[in-house]
Amino acid sequence: MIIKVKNLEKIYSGKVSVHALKGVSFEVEEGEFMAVMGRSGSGKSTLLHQLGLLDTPTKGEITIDGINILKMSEREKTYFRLNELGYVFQEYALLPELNVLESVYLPFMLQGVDKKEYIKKATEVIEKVGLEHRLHHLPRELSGGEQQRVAMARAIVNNPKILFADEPCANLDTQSSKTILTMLKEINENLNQTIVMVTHEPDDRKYVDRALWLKDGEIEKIE
Amino acid sequence: MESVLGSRNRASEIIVKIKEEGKEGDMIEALRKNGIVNEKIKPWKDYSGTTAGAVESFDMIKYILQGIAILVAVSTIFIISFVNVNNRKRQIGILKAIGMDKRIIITSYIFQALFYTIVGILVGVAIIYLVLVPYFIKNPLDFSLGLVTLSVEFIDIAISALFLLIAAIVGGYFPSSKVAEKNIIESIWGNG
Repeated sequence: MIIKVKNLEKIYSGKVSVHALKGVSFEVEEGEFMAVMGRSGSGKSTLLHQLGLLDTPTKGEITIDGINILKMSEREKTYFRLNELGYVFQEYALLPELNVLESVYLPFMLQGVDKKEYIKKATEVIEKVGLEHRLHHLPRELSGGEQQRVAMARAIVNNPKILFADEPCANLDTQSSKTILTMLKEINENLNQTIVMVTHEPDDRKYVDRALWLKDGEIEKIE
Repeated sequence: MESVLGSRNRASEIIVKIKEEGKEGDMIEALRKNGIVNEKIKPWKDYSGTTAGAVESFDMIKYILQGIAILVAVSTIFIISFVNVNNRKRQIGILKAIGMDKRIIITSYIFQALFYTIVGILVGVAIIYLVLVPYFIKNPLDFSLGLVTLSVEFIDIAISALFLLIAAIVGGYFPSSKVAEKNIIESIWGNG
């Protein structure tokens, strides 16, 4: 079991407090491609943010590869994100000043890998996502689908234990969405990569091993 | 001295120019110790009268202008750093999300502020020494007490530069640490 979630709760406090997650419990197997599905406002992205250490839950437990991540300090979480997790966001989240190659080797730079090695490894991954002809292009010179492929390359370049994808196709046309989902499926099958993907498209169900359906912050069903 | 000037017993006073301004007292003490006991020895300000007053006024104006210039430069550094960091809030959030330590983010913004400040200092010093000083030597200001040129003391430049470097460090640190401390989700998407 690579992810174990127990009674996870998230309350956003403010003028009106929002109970986004209401005691969610589930497990994810190593090498599994799991989708978190549900309507808008069901708590999908909130759940992904808690699992990906991007936010702190109000209550509950999250264990990743046997480590209780909620007991980590902020610094430990930062290094855990760098070394063990990868992210693909809905709006690509690329840095506008970095070209494709720089965007992809950035995690290696942060890890202190030798320059020659990180350029070689980043180039290999960029080839895998089919963007070898775009190495020195900036995000604004790429289409939405290409930007998302760069984000995917950046997410998998340091062999993360888990890849989190938050509605990776929400801003893409049908063809680009198909390319991204097929690519995610290939990464999952060929590299035995655990993937947790948030999506609101019921059609995406065919790409994943299991789907966890959320409704109003609670698990509706797992199928 | 007499042999140098070719005169005998005609000088009534000797003017001594010392290298460092403000050390007149030390020089007078040294002369006294060396046996010049009965002669009148006074610092130049005691003899100069109105000139000394004018110099003091110039000094006062210089300090006021220097203070204003530093204040303007420090405010500019703070404003630029603040705007720069705030425009990059989302990028800072992304960098934190992919695992960049917030200390690296803060340090990089301090270095950025320092870089611009050092470039500004170098350009300023170059303008002073290559443009302003030569210009005023060639075209001195005509005051009633004589021609006045621009005199730039290294220590004044060093003090101003030090103020600016400190301002760059503080100006780089505070805005970036404020944003780097923020929740990642809030930095990237602007909400909780």
